[in-house]
Amino acid sequence: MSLDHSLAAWEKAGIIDAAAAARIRAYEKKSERPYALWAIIGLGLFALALGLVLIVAANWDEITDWLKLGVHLMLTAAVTGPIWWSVLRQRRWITEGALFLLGAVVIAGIALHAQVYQLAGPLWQSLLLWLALMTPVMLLLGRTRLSAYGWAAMFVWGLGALAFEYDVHKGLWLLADGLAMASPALLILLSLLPCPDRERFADGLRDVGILTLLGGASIAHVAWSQRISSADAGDMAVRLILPVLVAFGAIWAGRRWNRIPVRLLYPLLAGTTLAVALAIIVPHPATGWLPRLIGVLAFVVMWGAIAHAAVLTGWRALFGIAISAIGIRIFIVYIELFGSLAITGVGLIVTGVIIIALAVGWRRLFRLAELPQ
Amino acid sequence: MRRWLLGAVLALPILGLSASIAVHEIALAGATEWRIPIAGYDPRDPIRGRYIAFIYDWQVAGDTGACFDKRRSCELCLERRGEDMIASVRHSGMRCPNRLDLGSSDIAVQITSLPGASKPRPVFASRIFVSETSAPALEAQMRTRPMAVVARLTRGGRLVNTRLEPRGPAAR
Repeated sequence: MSLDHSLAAWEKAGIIDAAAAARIRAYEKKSERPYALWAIIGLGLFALALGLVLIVAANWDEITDWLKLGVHLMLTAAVTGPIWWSVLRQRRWITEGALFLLGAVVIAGIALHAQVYQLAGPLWQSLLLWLALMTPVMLLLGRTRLSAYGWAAMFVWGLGALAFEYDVHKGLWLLADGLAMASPALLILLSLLPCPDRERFADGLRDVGILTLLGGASIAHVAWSQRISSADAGDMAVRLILPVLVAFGAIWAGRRWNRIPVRLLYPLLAGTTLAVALAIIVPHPATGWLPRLIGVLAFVVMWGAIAHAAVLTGWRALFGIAISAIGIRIFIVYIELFGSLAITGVGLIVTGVIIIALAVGWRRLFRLAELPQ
Repeated sequence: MRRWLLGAVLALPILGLSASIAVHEIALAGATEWRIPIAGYDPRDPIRGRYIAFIYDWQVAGDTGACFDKRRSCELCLERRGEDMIASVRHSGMRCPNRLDLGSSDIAVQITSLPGASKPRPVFASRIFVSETSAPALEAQMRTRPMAVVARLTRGGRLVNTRLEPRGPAAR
Protein backbone atom coordinates (compact mmCIF):
# COMPACT_ATOMS: atom_id res chain seq x y z
CA MET A 1 0.00 0.00 0.00
CA SER A 2 1.46 3.44 -0.91
CA LEU A 3 2.25 6.01 1.74
CA ASP A 4 -0.62 8.30 0.70
CA HIS A 5 -3.15 5.48 0.95
CA SER A 6 -1.77 4.47 4.35
CA LEU A 7 -1.93 8.05 5.66
CA ALA A 8 -5.49 8.48 4.37
CA ALA A 9 -6.53 5.22 6.04
CA TRP A 10 -4.94 6.24 9.39
CA GLU A 11 -6.54 9.69 9.27
CA LYS A 12 -9.92 8.12 8.61
CA ALA A 13 -9.41 5.70 11.51
CA GLY A 14 -8.51 8.62 13.78
CA ILE A 15 -4.97 7.34 14.51
CA ILE A 16 -3.34 10.56 13.23
CA ASP A 17 -4.66 14.05 12.41
CA ALA A 18 -4.15 16.05 9.22
CA ALA A 19 -1.17 17.98 10.65
CA ALA A 20 0.65 14.75 11.55
CA ALA A 21 -0.07 13.34 8.10
CA ALA A 22 1.39 16.49 6.48
CA ARG A 23 4.53 16.26 8.67
CA ILE A 24 4.99 12.60 7.73
CA ARG A 25 4.61 13.39 4.02
CA ALA A 26 7.14 16.23 4.28
CA TYR A 27 9.65 14.05 6.14
CA GLU A 28 9.35 11.15 3.67
CA LYS A 29 9.73 13.49 0.70
CA LYS A 30 12.89 14.98 2.23
CA SER A 31 14.53 11.60 2.79
CA GLU A 32 13.29 10.15 -0.49
CA ARG A 33 15.90 8.35 -2.59
CA PRO A 34 15.71 8.15 -6.39
CA TYR A 35 15.65 4.35 -6.51
CA ALA A 36 14.17 4.26 -10.00
CA LEU A 37 16.89 6.56 -11.33
CA TRP A 38 19.61 4.48 -9.66
CA ALA A 39 18.15 1.27 -11.04
CA ILE A 40 18.04 2.67 -14.58
CA ILE A 41 21.62 4.01 -14.32
CA GLY A 42 22.71 0.63 -12.97
CA LEU A 43 21.09 -1.15 -15.93
CA GLY A 44 22.76 1.28 -18.31
CA LEU A 45 26.18 0.62 -16.78
CA PHE A 46 25.54 -3.12 -16.96
CA ALA A 47 24.65 -2.90 -20.66
CA LEU A 48 27.74 -0.76 -21.28
CA ALA A 49 29.94 -3.32 -19.52
CA LEU A 50 28.53 -6.22 -21.56
CA GLY A 51 28.96 -4.18 -24.73
CA LEU A 52 32.65 -3.57 -23.94
CA VAL A 53 33.24 -7.29 -23.42
CA LEU A 54 31.47 -8.17 -26.68
CA ILE A 55 33.41 -5.58 -28.70
CA VAL A 56 36.66 -7.12 -27.47
CA ALA A 57 35.29 -10.62 -28.13
CA ALA A 58 34.67 -9.65 -31.77
CA ASN A 59 38.47 -9.60 -32.09
CA TRP A 60 38.95 -7.46 -35.15
CA ASP A 61 41.55 -8.67 -37.62
CA GLU A 62 42.12 -5.20 -39.06
CA ILE A 63 43.64 -3.77 -35.88
CA THR A 64 47.14 -4.87 -34.90
CA ASP A 65 47.64 -6.53 -31.54
CA TRP A 66 49.93 -3.81 -30.21
CA LEU A 67 47.37 -1.11 -31.05
CA LYS A 68 44.60 -3.04 -29.31
CA LEU A 69 46.74 -3.65 -26.22
CA GLY A 70 47.96 -0.03 -26.09
CA VAL A 71 44.52 1.50 -26.48
CA HIS A 72 43.14 -0.80 -23.84
CA LEU A 73 45.86 0.12 -21.31
CA MET A 74 45.20 3.80 -21.96
CA LEU A 75 41.46 3.26 -21.51
CA THR A 76 42.12 1.49 -18.19
CA ALA A 77 44.28 4.39 -16.99
CA ALA A 78 41.65 6.89 -18.18
CA VAL A 79 38.90 5.22 -16.11
CA THR A 80 41.00 5.44 -12.93
CA GLY A 81 41.16 9.25 -13.30
CA PRO A 82 37.49 9.90 -12.43
CA ILE A 83 37.76 7.44 -9.54
CA TRP A 84 40.71 9.37 -8.06
CA TRP A 85 38.91 12.70 -8.49
CA SER A 86 35.57 11.55 -7.07
CA VAL A 87 37.03 9.69 -4.07
CA LEU A 88 38.97 12.76 -2.92
CA ARG A 89 35.81 14.89 -3.32
CA GLN A 90 33.54 12.21 -1.78
CA ARG A 91 31.28 12.07 -4.83
CA ARG A 92 29.84 8.63 -4.12
CA TRP A 93 27.83 7.90 -7.26
CA ILE A 94 30.54 8.99 -9.68
CA THR A 95 32.93 6.69 -7.82
CA GLU A 96 30.46 3.81 -8.03
CA GLY A 97 29.81 4.26 -11.75
CA ALA A 98 33.51 4.56 -12.53
CA LEU A 99 34.33 1.48 -10.38
CA PHE A 100 31.77 -0.54 -12.33
CA LEU A 101 33.30 0.67 -15.60
CA LEU A 102 36.81 -0.15 -14.37
CA GLY A 103 35.68 -3.71 -13.58
CA ALA A 104 34.24 -4.06 -17.08
CA VAL A 105 37.35 -2.62 -18.73
CA VAL A 106 39.63 -4.98 -16.76
CA ILE A 107 37.64 -8.13 -17.66
CA ALA A 108 37.63 -6.95 -21.30
CA GLY A 109 41.42 -6.54 -21.02
CA ILE A 110 41.86 -10.06 -19.67
CA ALA A 111 39.79 -11.35 -22.59
CA LEU A 112 41.90 -9.29 -25.01
CA HIS A 113 45.13 -10.79 -23.63
CA ALA A 114 43.63 -14.26 -24.05
CA GLN A 115 42.89 -13.55 -27.72
CA VAL A 116 46.25 -11.92 -28.50
CA TYR A 117 48.38 -14.54 -26.72
CA GLN A 118 45.98 -17.47 -27.38
CA LEU A 119 45.50 -18.26 -23.69
CA ALA A 120 43.09 -21.18 -24.00
CA GLY A 121 43.09 -22.18 -20.33
CA PRO A 122 39.96 -22.75 -18.22
CA LEU A 123 37.63 -19.80 -17.55
CA TRP A 124 38.33 -19.73 -13.81
CA GLN A 125 41.88 -18.51 -14.47
CA SER A 126 40.53 -15.35 -16.15
CA LEU A 127 37.99 -14.82 -13.37
CA LEU A 128 40.52 -15.28 -10.56
CA LEU A 129 42.93 -12.88 -12.30
CA TRP A 130 40.11 -10.31 -12.38
CA LEU A 131 39.53 -10.88 -8.66
CA ALA A 132 43.25 -10.44 -7.91
CA LEU A 133 43.37 -7.12 -9.79
CA MET A 134 40.00 -5.68 -8.74
CA THR A 135 39.37 -6.91 -5.18
CA PRO A 136 41.52 -4.28 -3.37
CA VAL A 137 39.97 -1.34 -5.25
CA MET A 138 36.39 -2.67 -4.95
CA LEU A 139 36.59 -3.54 -1.26
CA LEU A 140 38.34 -0.30 -0.31
CA LEU A 141 36.36 2.14 -2.47
CA GLY A 142 32.95 0.48 -2.98
CA ARG A 143 30.15 2.26 -1.10
CA THR A 144 26.82 1.03 -2.48
CA ARG A 145 25.02 -2.14 -3.48
CA LEU A 146 25.99 -1.60 -7.14
CA SER A 147 29.70 -2.31 -6.68
CA ALA A 148 28.94 -4.88 -3.94
CA TYR A 149 26.70 -6.94 -6.24
CA GLY A 150 29.23 -6.71 -9.09
CA TRP A 151 32.22 -7.82 -7.03
CA ALA A 152 30.31 -10.48 -5.06
CA ALA A 153 28.88 -12.03 -8.24
CA MET A 154 32.39 -12.31 -9.77
CA PHE A 155 33.68 -13.73 -6.45
CA VAL A 156 31.09 -16.51 -6.38
CA TRP A 157 31.36 -17.15 -10.15
CA GLY A 158 35.17 -17.32 -10.10
CA LEU A 159 35.41 -19.75 -7.18
CA GLY A 160 32.47 -21.78 -8.52
CA ALA A 161 34.12 -22.08 -11.94
CA LEU A 162 37.28 -23.32 -10.20
CA ALA A 163 35.34 -25.99 -8.31
CA PHE A 164 33.38 -27.20 -11.34
CA GLU A 165 36.28 -27.25 -13.78
CA TYR A 166 37.61 -30.75 -13.26
CA ASP A 167 35.84 -34.10 -12.97
CA VAL A 168 38.18 -35.55 -10.37
CA HIS A 169 39.52 -33.54 -7.49
CA LYS A 170 42.03 -34.93 -5.07
CA GLY A 171 44.57 -33.56 -2.61
CA LEU A 172 44.78 -29.77 -2.48
CA TRP A 173 41.99 -29.45 -5.07
CA LEU A 174 39.57 -30.60 -2.34
CA LEU A 175 40.47 -27.47 -0.35
CA ALA A 176 39.91 -25.36 -3.48
CA ASP A 177 36.44 -26.93 -3.73
CA GLY A 178 35.97 -26.09 -0.08
CA LEU A 179 36.90 -22.46 -0.72
CA ALA A 180 34.20 -22.30 -3.40
CA MET A 181 31.68 -23.85 -1.00
CA ALA A 182 32.70 -21.32 1.66
CA SER A 183 32.32 -18.29 -0.64
CA PRO A 184 28.72 -17.41 0.40
CA ALA A 185 29.63 -17.53 4.09
CA LEU A 186 32.78 -15.50 3.33
CA LEU A 187 30.61 -12.77 1.81
CA ILE A 188 28.42 -12.76 4.92
CA LEU A 189 31.55 -12.62 7.13
CA LEU A 190 32.89 -9.64 5.17
CA SER A 191 29.52 -7.87 5.48
CA LEU A 192 29.58 -8.26 9.27
CA LEU A 193 32.94 -6.51 9.74
CA PRO A 194 32.69 -2.92 11.00
CA CYS A 195 33.27 -0.35 8.23
CA PRO A 196 31.90 3.15 8.84
CA ASP A 197 30.23 4.82 5.84
CA ARG A 198 30.09 1.48 3.95
CA GLU A 199 26.88 0.01 5.31
CA ARG A 200 25.18 -0.22 1.92
CA PHE A 201 28.17 -1.97 0.36
CA ALA A 202 28.12 -4.41 3.27
CA ASP A 203 24.37 -4.91 2.78
CA GLY A 204 25.04 -5.83 -0.85
CA LEU A 205 27.65 -8.43 0.14
CA ARG A 206 25.24 -9.81 2.74
CA ASP A 207 22.39 -10.06 0.22
CA VAL A 208 24.48 -12.05 -2.29
CA GLY A 209 25.95 -14.17 0.51
CA ILE A 210 22.57 -15.13 1.96
CA LEU A 211 21.06 -15.79 -1.47
CA THR A 212 23.89 -18.10 -2.58
CA LEU A 213 24.18 -19.75 0.85
CA LEU A 214 20.51 -20.70 0.99
CA GLY A 215 20.41 -21.63 -2.70
CA GLY A 216 23.53 -23.76 -2.45
CA ALA A 217 22.39 -25.46 0.77
CA SER A 218 19.02 -26.30 -0.83
CA ILE A 219 20.68 -27.75 -3.95
CA ALA A 220 23.07 -29.79 -1.77
CA HIS A 221 20.09 -31.81 -0.50
CA VAL A 222 20.04 -33.53 -3.90
CA ALA A 223 22.91 -35.57 -2.45
CA TRP A 224 20.34 -37.57 -0.46
CA SER A 225 19.14 -39.11 -3.74
CA GLN A 226 22.72 -39.97 -4.83
CA ARG A 227 25.03 -42.72 -3.60
CA ILE A 228 27.64 -41.48 -1.15
CA SER A 229 30.33 -44.08 -0.50
CA SER A 230 32.74 -44.00 2.43
CA ALA A 231 35.48 -42.72 0.11
CA ASP A 232 33.19 -39.96 -1.21
CA ALA A 233 32.24 -39.03 2.34
CA GLY A 234 35.92 -38.73 3.28
CA ASP A 235 36.60 -36.36 0.37
CA MET A 236 33.52 -34.32 1.24
CA ALA A 237 34.67 -34.02 4.85
CA VAL A 238 37.94 -32.46 3.67
CA ARG A 239 35.98 -30.09 1.42
CA LEU A 240 33.88 -29.00 4.41
CA ILE A 241 36.86 -27.86 6.52
CA LEU A 242 36.93 -24.32 5.11
CA PRO A 243 33.11 -23.81 5.03
CA VAL A 244 32.86 -24.85 8.68
CA LEU A 245 35.71 -22.54 9.74
CA VAL A 246 34.25 -19.61 7.80
CA ALA A 247 30.77 -20.25 9.24
CA PHE A 248 32.22 -20.17 12.76
CA GLY A 249 34.07 -16.97 11.89
CA ALA A 250 30.91 -15.36 10.54
CA ILE A 251 28.94 -16.32 13.67
CA TRP A 252 31.65 -14.82 15.87
CA ALA A 253 31.69 -11.61 13.78
CA GLY A 254 27.89 -11.44 13.89
CA ARG A 255 27.81 -11.76 17.68
CA ARG A 256 30.63 -9.22 18.01
CA TRP A 257 29.21 -6.47 15.78
CA ASN A 258 25.44 -7.23 15.64
CA ARG A 259 24.85 -6.40 11.98
CA ILE A 260 22.61 -9.47 11.61
CA PRO A 261 20.23 -10.39 14.47
CA VAL A 262 21.88 -13.07 16.60
CA ARG A 263 18.70 -15.20 16.49
CA LEU A 264 19.09 -15.45 12.72
CA LEU A 265 22.85 -16.11 12.74
CA TYR A 266 22.69 -19.68 14.01
CA PRO A 267 20.02 -21.13 11.68
CA LEU A 268 21.44 -19.17 8.73
CA LEU A 269 25.09 -20.16 9.15
CA ALA A 270 25.26 -23.15 11.49
CA GLY A 271 21.96 -24.68 10.38
CA THR A 272 22.77 -24.62 6.66
CA THR A 273 26.32 -25.92 7.20
CA LEU A 274 25.04 -28.77 9.39
CA ALA A 275 22.32 -29.69 6.87
CA VAL A 276 24.84 -29.74 3.99
CA ALA A 277 27.30 -31.76 6.08
CA LEU A 278 24.67 -34.40 6.86
CA ALA A 279 23.82 -34.71 3.16
CA ILE A 280 27.38 -35.18 1.92
CA ILE A 281 29.46 -36.79 4.67
CA VAL A 282 27.05 -39.50 5.82
CA PRO A 283 27.48 -42.56 3.53
CA HIS A 284 24.16 -43.71 2.07
CA PRO A 285 22.87 -45.65 -0.95
CA ALA A 286 21.13 -44.06 -3.95
CA THR A 287 18.07 -46.30 -3.74
CA GLY A 288 15.56 -46.76 -0.93
CA TRP A 289 13.05 -44.44 0.71
CA LEU A 290 14.92 -43.91 4.01
CA PRO A 291 17.72 -41.62 2.75
CA ARG A 292 15.17 -39.55 0.80
CA LEU A 293 12.91 -39.27 3.82
CA ILE A 294 15.84 -38.14 5.98
CA GLY A 295 16.76 -35.64 3.24
CA VAL A 296 13.23 -34.20 3.24
CA LEU A 297 13.18 -33.91 7.02
CA ALA A 298 16.62 -32.24 7.08
CA PHE A 299 15.49 -29.77 4.40
CA VAL A 300 12.27 -28.91 6.21
CA VAL A 301 14.03 -28.53 9.58
CA MET A 302 16.72 -26.28 8.02
CA TRP A 303 14.21 -23.97 6.36
CA GLY A 304 11.82 -24.23 9.29
CA ALA A 305 14.50 -22.96 11.66
CA ILE A 306 15.20 -20.07 9.27
CA ALA A 307 11.47 -19.29 9.03
CA HIS A 308 11.15 -19.28 12.84
CA ALA A 309 14.17 -16.96 13.19
CA ALA A 310 12.79 -14.69 10.48
CA VAL A 311 9.50 -14.39 12.39
CA LEU A 312 11.32 -13.48 15.60
CA THR A 313 13.59 -10.90 13.92
CA GLY A 314 11.12 -9.32 11.50
CA TRP A 315 12.78 -10.42 8.24
CA ARG A 316 9.50 -10.77 6.34
CA ALA A 317 10.96 -11.47 2.92
CA LEU A 318 13.16 -14.25 4.29
CA PHE A 319 10.17 -15.77 6.06
CA GLY A 320 8.20 -15.81 2.81
CA ILE A 321 11.12 -17.44 0.95
CA ALA A 322 11.50 -20.07 3.68
CA ILE A 323 7.81 -21.00 3.62
CA SER A 324 7.87 -21.20 -0.19
CA ALA A 325 10.96 -23.41 -0.13
CA ILE A 326 9.30 -25.84 2.28
CA GLY A 327 6.18 -25.90 0.14
CA ILE A 328 8.13 -26.60 -3.03
CA ARG A 329 10.03 -29.40 -1.31
CA ILE A 330 6.75 -30.96 -0.19
CA PHE A 331 5.62 -30.80 -3.81
CA ILE A 332 8.79 -32.52 -4.98
CA VAL A 333 8.32 -35.27 -2.37
CA TYR A 334 5.19 -36.43 -4.13
CA ILE A 335 6.96 -36.55 -7.47
CA GLU A 336 9.85 -38.51 -5.96
CA LEU A 337 8.09 -41.05 -3.75
CA PHE A 338 4.88 -41.81 -5.65
CA GLY A 339 5.35 -42.38 -9.33
CA SER A 340 1.85 -43.25 -10.61
CA LEU A 341 -0.28 -40.54 -12.24
CA ALA A 342 -3.29 -41.02 -9.99
CA ILE A 343 -1.39 -40.96 -6.75
CA THR A 344 0.74 -38.04 -7.95
CA GLY A 345 -2.46 -36.17 -8.82
CA VAL A 346 -3.89 -36.72 -5.35
CA GLY A 347 -0.56 -35.67 -3.90
CA LEU A 348 -0.55 -32.45 -5.93
CA ILE A 349 -4.05 -31.56 -4.71
CA VAL A 350 -3.01 -32.11 -1.12
CA THR A 351 0.20 -30.15 -1.68
CA GLY A 352 -1.72 -27.27 -3.23
CA VAL A 353 -4.01 -27.08 -0.22
CA ILE A 354 -0.97 -27.13 2.08
CA ILE A 355 0.78 -24.32 0.16
CA ILE A 356 -2.36 -22.13 0.25
CA ALA A 357 -2.78 -22.81 3.95
CA LEU A 358 0.87 -21.85 4.52
CA ALA A 359 0.44 -18.59 2.57
CA VAL A 360 -2.69 -17.66 4.57
CA GLY A 361 -1.08 -18.75 7.80
CA TRP A 362 1.95 -16.55 7.08
CA ARG A 363 0.05 -13.34 7.56
CA ARG A 364 -1.74 -14.59 10.69
CA LEU A 365 1.52 -15.79 12.17
CA PHE A 366 3.12 -12.35 11.73
CA ARG A 367 0.18 -10.70 13.49
CA LEU A 368 0.32 -13.22 16.33
CA ALA A 369 4.06 -12.66 16.77
CA GLU A 370 3.47 -8.84 17.01
CA LEU A 371 6.61 -8.05 15.09
CA PRO A 372 8.53 -4.79 15.77
CA GLN A 373 8.45 -2.19 12.95
CA MET B 1 41.50 7.89 2.53
CA ARG B 2 45.28 8.22 2.24
CA ARG B 3 46.39 9.25 -1.25
CA TRP B 4 49.17 6.67 -1.43
CA LEU B 5 46.69 3.86 -0.71
CA LEU B 6 44.19 5.21 -3.24
CA GLY B 7 46.97 5.45 -5.85
CA ALA B 8 48.18 1.94 -5.07
CA VAL B 9 44.79 0.23 -5.47
CA LEU B 10 44.02 2.19 -8.66
CA ALA B 11 47.44 1.32 -10.12
CA LEU B 12 47.04 -2.40 -9.42
CA PRO B 13 44.78 -3.23 -12.43
CA ILE B 14 47.06 -1.25 -14.81
CA LEU B 15 50.25 -2.82 -13.43
CA GLY B 16 48.68 -6.28 -13.45
CA LEU B 17 47.61 -6.04 -17.10
CA SER B 18 51.00 -4.58 -18.08
CA ALA B 19 52.77 -7.41 -16.27
CA SER B 20 50.58 -9.92 -18.14
CA ILE B 21 51.67 -8.40 -21.48
CA ALA B 22 55.34 -8.45 -20.41
CA VAL B 23 55.21 -12.07 -19.22
CA HIS B 24 53.66 -13.33 -22.45
CA GLU B 25 55.94 -11.27 -24.71
CA ILE B 26 59.03 -12.58 -22.89
CA ALA B 27 57.76 -16.16 -23.20
CA LEU B 28 57.21 -15.73 -26.95
CA ALA B 29 60.65 -14.22 -27.56
CA GLY B 30 62.85 -16.84 -29.27
CA ALA B 31 59.92 -19.16 -30.02
CA THR B 32 60.22 -21.41 -33.10
CA GLU B 33 57.43 -21.64 -35.68
CA TRP B 34 55.74 -24.96 -36.57
CA ARG B 35 53.10 -25.80 -39.17
CA ILE B 36 50.94 -28.69 -37.87
CA PRO B 37 48.07 -30.45 -39.69
CA ILE B 38 44.69 -30.28 -37.88
CA ALA B 39 40.98 -31.28 -38.02
CA GLY B 40 38.24 -29.29 -36.11
CA TYR B 41 35.01 -27.21 -35.57
CA ASP B 42 33.93 -23.71 -34.37
CA PRO B 43 32.16 -22.90 -31.08
CA ARG B 44 32.17 -19.75 -28.88
CA ASP B 45 33.65 -18.76 -25.51
CA PRO B 46 31.50 -16.35 -23.39
CA ILE B 47 34.32 -13.91 -22.65
CA ARG B 48 37.12 -14.52 -25.14
CA GLY B 49 34.92 -14.75 -28.23
CA ARG B 50 34.89 -17.11 -31.19
CA TYR B 51 37.39 -19.92 -31.41
CA ILE B 52 38.15 -22.89 -33.61
CA ALA B 53 38.58 -26.17 -31.73
CA PHE B 54 40.72 -28.78 -33.43
CA ILE B 55 42.95 -31.78 -32.92
CA TYR B 56 46.56 -31.93 -34.00
CA ASP B 57 46.76 -34.42 -36.83
CA TRP B 58 50.26 -35.69 -36.07
CA GLN B 59 51.62 -39.21 -35.60
CA VAL B 60 51.93 -40.16 -31.97
CA ALA B 61 54.78 -42.36 -30.77
CA GLY B 62 55.40 -43.84 -27.34
CA ASP B 63 53.18 -44.65 -24.35
CA THR B 64 50.37 -42.06 -23.96
CA GLY B 65 49.18 -43.50 -20.64
CA ALA B 66 50.80 -40.72 -18.59
CA CYS B 67 48.94 -38.11 -20.65
CA PHE B 68 45.55 -39.35 -19.36
CA ASP B 69 46.55 -39.14 -15.71
CA LYS B 70 45.91 -35.54 -14.57
CA ARG B 71 48.20 -36.04 -11.59
CA ARG B 72 51.24 -36.63 -13.86
CA SER B 73 52.87 -34.22 -16.28
CA CYS B 74 52.92 -35.16 -19.95
CA GLU B 75 55.38 -33.80 -22.47
CA LEU B 76 55.79 -34.46 -26.16
CA CYS B 77 58.85 -34.14 -28.39
CA LEU B 78 58.03 -32.66 -31.80
CA GLU B 79 59.96 -33.72 -34.86
CA ARG B 80 59.56 -33.23 -38.58
CA ARG B 81 60.32 -36.23 -40.80
CA GLY B 82 59.82 -35.04 -44.36
CA GLU B 83 56.10 -34.27 -44.77
CA ASP B 84 55.16 -35.97 -41.51
CA MET B 85 54.92 -34.46 -38.01
CA ILE B 86 55.84 -36.86 -35.20
CA ALA B 87 54.91 -36.25 -31.55
CA SER B 88 56.73 -38.67 -29.26
CA VAL B 89 55.75 -38.99 -25.58
CA ARG B 90 58.80 -37.91 -23.65
CA HIS B 91 60.37 -40.26 -21.11
CA SER B 92 63.28 -39.73 -18.74
CA GLY B 93 66.66 -39.69 -20.45
CA MET B 94 65.18 -38.88 -23.86
CA ARG B 95 66.86 -36.12 -25.84
CA CYS B 96 64.15 -33.60 -26.74
CA PRO B 97 65.19 -30.34 -28.48
CA ASN B 98 61.55 -29.38 -29.30
CA ARG B 99 59.75 -30.03 -26.02
CA LEU B 100 56.01 -29.43 -25.80
CA ASP B 101 54.36 -29.26 -22.36
CA LEU B 102 50.66 -30.19 -22.62
CA GLY B 103 49.71 -28.47 -19.37
CA SER B 104 51.09 -25.00 -20.15
CA SER B 105 49.85 -25.30 -23.76
CA ASP B 106 46.28 -26.10 -22.58
CA ILE B 107 46.19 -29.17 -24.83
CA ALA B 108 43.66 -31.81 -23.80
CA VAL B 109 44.13 -35.52 -24.46
CA GLN B 110 41.10 -37.54 -25.59
CA ILE B 111 40.33 -41.00 -26.92
CA THR B 112 38.35 -40.73 -30.14
CA SER B 113 37.56 -42.49 -33.39
CA LEU B 114 38.71 -40.59 -36.45
CA PRO B 115 37.23 -41.14 -39.95
CA GLY B 116 39.12 -43.92 -41.74
CA ALA B 117 40.78 -45.19 -38.56
CA SER B 118 40.36 -48.86 -37.66
CA LYS B 119 40.18 -48.25 -33.89
CA PRO B 120 39.95 -45.36 -31.39
CA ARG B 121 43.22 -43.63 -30.66
CA PRO B 122 44.44 -40.84 -28.36
CA VAL B 123 44.22 -37.38 -29.89
CA PHE B 124 45.49 -34.01 -28.71
CA ALA B 125 42.92 -31.19 -28.81
CA SER B 126 43.41 -27.43 -28.65
CA ARG B 127 41.76 -24.18 -29.79
CA ILE B 128 42.62 -20.89 -31.46
CA PHE B 129 40.72 -17.63 -30.86
CA VAL B 130 39.67 -15.98 -34.14
CA SER B 131 37.83 -12.82 -35.07
CA GLU B 132 34.07 -12.84 -35.51
CA THR B 133 34.46 -11.84 -39.15
CA SER B 134 36.92 -14.57 -40.09
CA ALA B 135 35.32 -17.42 -38.07
CA PRO B 136 32.63 -18.42 -40.66
CA ALA B 137 35.17 -18.55 -43.52
CA LEU B 138 37.61 -20.58 -41.46
CA GLU B 139 34.87 -22.96 -40.39
CA ALA B 140 33.89 -23.47 -44.03
CA GLN B 141 37.52 -24.11 -44.96
CA MET B 142 37.83 -26.65 -42.13
CA ARG B 143 34.93 -28.60 -43.66
CA THR B 144 36.15 -28.54 -47.26
CA ARG B 145 39.93 -28.79 -47.26
CA PRO B 146 42.84 -29.98 -45.14
CA MET B 147 44.08 -27.29 -42.78
CA ALA B 148 47.16 -26.64 -40.68
CA VAL B 149 47.82 -24.45 -37.65
CA VAL B 150 50.91 -22.27 -37.56
CA ALA B 151 52.09 -22.27 -33.96
CA ARG B 152 55.04 -20.95 -31.98
CA LEU B 153 56.85 -23.26 -29.56
CA THR B 154 58.43 -21.28 -26.72
CA ARG B 155 61.59 -22.31 -24.88
CA GLY B 156 59.37 -23.13 -21.89
CA GLY B 157 57.50 -25.77 -23.93
CA ARG B 158 54.28 -23.82 -24.50
CA LEU B 159 52.77 -24.16 -27.99
CA VAL B 160 51.00 -20.92 -28.97
CA ASN B 161 48.62 -21.24 -31.93
CA THR B 162 49.03 -18.20 -34.20
CA ARG B 163 46.89 -18.73 -37.33
CA LEU B 164 45.16 -21.33 -39.48
CA GLU B 165 46.17 -22.02 -43.09
CA PRO B 166 45.04 -24.37 -45.84
CA ARG B 167 47.52 -27.16 -46.49
CA GLY B 168 46.12 -28.60 -49.66
CA PRO B 169 43.47 -28.23 -52.38
CA ALA B 170 39.75 -28.20 -51.46
CA ALA B 171 37.98 -31.60 -51.39
CA ARG B 172 35.70 -32.28 -54.43
